[in-house]
Amino acid sequence: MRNKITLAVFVTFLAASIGLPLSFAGSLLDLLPKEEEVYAKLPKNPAGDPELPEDEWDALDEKLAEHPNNCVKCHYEEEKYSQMTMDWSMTKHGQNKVDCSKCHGGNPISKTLKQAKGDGTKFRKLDDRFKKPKGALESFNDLAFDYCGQCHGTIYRDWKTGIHGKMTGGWNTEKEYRLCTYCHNPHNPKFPQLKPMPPPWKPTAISTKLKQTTKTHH
Amino acid sequence: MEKDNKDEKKISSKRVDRRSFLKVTAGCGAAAMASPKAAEAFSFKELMQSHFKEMDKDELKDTLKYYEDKYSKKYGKQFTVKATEPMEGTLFGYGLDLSRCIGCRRCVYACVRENNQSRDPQIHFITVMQFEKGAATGMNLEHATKYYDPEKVPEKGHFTMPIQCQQCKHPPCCKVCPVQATWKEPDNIVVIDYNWCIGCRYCMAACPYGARKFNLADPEIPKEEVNPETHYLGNRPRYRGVVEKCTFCIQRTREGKYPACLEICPVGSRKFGNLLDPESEIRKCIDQKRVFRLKEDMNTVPQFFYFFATHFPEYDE
Repeated sequence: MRNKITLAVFVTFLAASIGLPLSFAGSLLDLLPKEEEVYAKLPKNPAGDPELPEDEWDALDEKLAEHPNNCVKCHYEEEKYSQMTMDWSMTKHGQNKVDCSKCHGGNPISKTLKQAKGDGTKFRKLDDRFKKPKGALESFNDLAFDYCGQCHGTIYRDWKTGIHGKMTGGWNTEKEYRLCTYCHNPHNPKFPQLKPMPPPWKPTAISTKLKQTTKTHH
Repeated sequence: MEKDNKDEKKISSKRVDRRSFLKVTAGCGAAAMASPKAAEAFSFKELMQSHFKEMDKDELKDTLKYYEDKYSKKYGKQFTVKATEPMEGTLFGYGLDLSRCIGCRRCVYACVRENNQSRDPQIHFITVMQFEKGAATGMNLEHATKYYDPEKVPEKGHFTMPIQCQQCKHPPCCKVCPVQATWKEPDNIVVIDYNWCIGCRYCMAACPYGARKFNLADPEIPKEEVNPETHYLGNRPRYRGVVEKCTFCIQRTREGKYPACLEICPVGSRKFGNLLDPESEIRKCIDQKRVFRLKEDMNTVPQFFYFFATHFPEYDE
C-alpha cells in the first residue's frame, strides 16, 4: 500500500504540468479517470531531487535536528506555509498522526533534508481551486479521492454514487461534479462556517409595507 | 304551488344571466384598459382567456406570445414564456441531506431570483427552520424558528431543515381548489394557472407544509434582477391576489437542468432526479439512506425526501 501511495505522489507531480481533461457521460463511476489512462498520459522523465548547493543542505539539516516533526519546524516560520501548518496541527489529522508525509511523501522524522523531502513533491496553489474549469484533472490534489477514500470510506462510497458533494449542470444532461479538494481545504478539511443570508421579514414588517402600498393605490 | 312559482320568478329576475354578465365584465375590462394602473394588472384578453388545460395549440401560442410581449414591455428585457410539456418517463423527486444542511439560506435567495418572487412584500418559497438538538419537544415544527440570525452557521447544538413545496402525490391543495386552478402534472410537479386562481386561499389553509404563498400586494421585482426565462405555469411574473409556490423550477427541470436551490447549495445537501431512473442520485439516496417524509401521517405522500447521510458528533452538544 505504501509503495502505491509513493508512486501516486510521484506520478501526480508529473501530472501537475499537464492538464488532463475528463469526459462527462454515464454514471459518476464512469466519469472517474481510469488509473491506467492517467499514467499513460504522463511524461516519462523522472522529477529528480530538489536542487540545492551542498552547504545549504547541511545548514538546513542542523535546523531540522531539534523537532520531532521536521517539516513543521521549518515551514511554520515561512509566511507561505505558516497558516496551513497551523491549520493542519489543529485538525483531527494533525492530532492523529496523519502527518505531512502521508500526503506529501518524504519522512518527517529523518535527520537529513534529502530524506525528509522525499522526491520533492510540489503542489498546486489551493486558492485557485474555485477558479479552475470544473472537472479538469491537473494535479495530485485532484486525485485525492483515491487517497482520502482510504480512511473516509463511507463518504467515498457516497460520493461515487452522487450522494456526497455538490453537483451542478443537469439531472438529465451533463453533470459537473467536484473532487475532494475543490470544497475541502486539505490542511483544514472541515467545511468552514458561513455567514447566513438575512432571515425573512416578520409579519409586522410586511404589513407596514402593505399599508403603504394600499395608500398609493386608493 | 303558485306561491312557489312566484318566488322562483322573483329569484330569477334577480339572477344574472350569461349575456348580462358578459356585458358587465366587458365593461369592466374596458374600464380596466382605460385606467393605466389597473391595465398593468390585467386586460380584457387576460380576463377572457381559457384555463391552461383547455387551451388548444393556437390559443396557447397566442397566449404565450401575449405574455412575452407584456413582460418584455414592462421589464425592458426580452422575455420567453414557455409551456414546456413534461418529459415522458419522468417522476421528479427531491432529496435533502439534513446532516449536511448548515442553514445558510443561500437556497432561499437563489429561488427568489430564479422564480421572480416579490421582493416587497417579501415572498420566499423556501423556509429554513432551525431546531434545537436534544430538545424535549423533539423535532416539533412549532418549537422551531425561521428567524434565527447568528454570526456564523452551523450553530452548535442546532440543526436546520429547509421546507418548500413537497409536490405531494395526494395534494390536499388541489383537492380544495374550487376552480381547479391548481393541479398535479404527470411528472410530479404541482402547478398553478395564475390566471385562473381567484385568490380564495383555500389551498394555503389545506397545505400542511405552509408551502403556498399569497401575493398580498402587487409583486415588486427589480428590472435588473428579473429572470426573463420563464414558464407559463412557473416563474412568470404573478399578479396581486394569486397564490404561488415552488414548482421544482419547472422552467429548468423540464429542460434537464437542476433546480436553482440545488445549484447554489454550498454543501451539496440537495439532491434531485428522476425517481424512475435507478441510477439517479435521488434513487441512490432512497436505496442507501434512511429517508423520511415530512408529516407522513397526513397521507399526502410527499415526493420530497429528507435523510441523514452522515453524523457530525462535534455539533451535538
